[in-house]
Amino acid sequence: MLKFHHTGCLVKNIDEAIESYRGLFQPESIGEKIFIRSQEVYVCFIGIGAGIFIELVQPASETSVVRNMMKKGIAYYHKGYLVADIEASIKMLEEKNYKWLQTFRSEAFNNKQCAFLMSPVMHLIELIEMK
Amino acid sequence: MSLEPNSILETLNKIWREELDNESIVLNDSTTASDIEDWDSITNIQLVVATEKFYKIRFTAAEISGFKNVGEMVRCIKKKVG
Repeated sequence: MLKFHHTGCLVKNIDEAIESYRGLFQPESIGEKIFIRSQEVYVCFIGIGAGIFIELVQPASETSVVRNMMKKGIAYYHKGYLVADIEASIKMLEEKNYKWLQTFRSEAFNNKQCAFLMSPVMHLIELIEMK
Repeated sequence: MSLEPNSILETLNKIWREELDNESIVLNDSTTASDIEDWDSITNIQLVVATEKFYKIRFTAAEISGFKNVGEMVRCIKKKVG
């Protein structure tokens, strides 16, 4: 089963975006800024509830895959879910006609395996393996 | 619904224009992602999903990753629908 973890939100300037959240939640709710090499993005998690986060995402290069979405003015663009077994979850979702895009290891989750998939109604989701 | 290759190509052209919000797109059999601005890996899956929805078909993961150009997708659609 999937457990909601975060929603990803594109920002032009992650430092500025982080500052805009400071003072709204407990100081420890603001995470570290992390570079995700495979995605060419900087990210920062902001805790906005019990185990629920906003992931601020800033493209780190002109070739970052999120650059096009930012050009279109898209801000909130994916939902992240924790899963126990990423391969089994991908298989289960593919049976429901989700399309697998990419599996990668994320520096934001101690190099655990993550994967992006597109839903049949074109909602982008990220799976994060808990084990 | 016509399933002649040219008709499929014309339909794909409409889908590409809508999904990429670019009325100047003109696809042909040899068109690839590198020929069209903003056709990245995420957009590619959106194009596949929109195409599946229109033709009421499903592509396998192997088919999607195996498409080398638009022409290969046209032939795959013809095989599935025709």
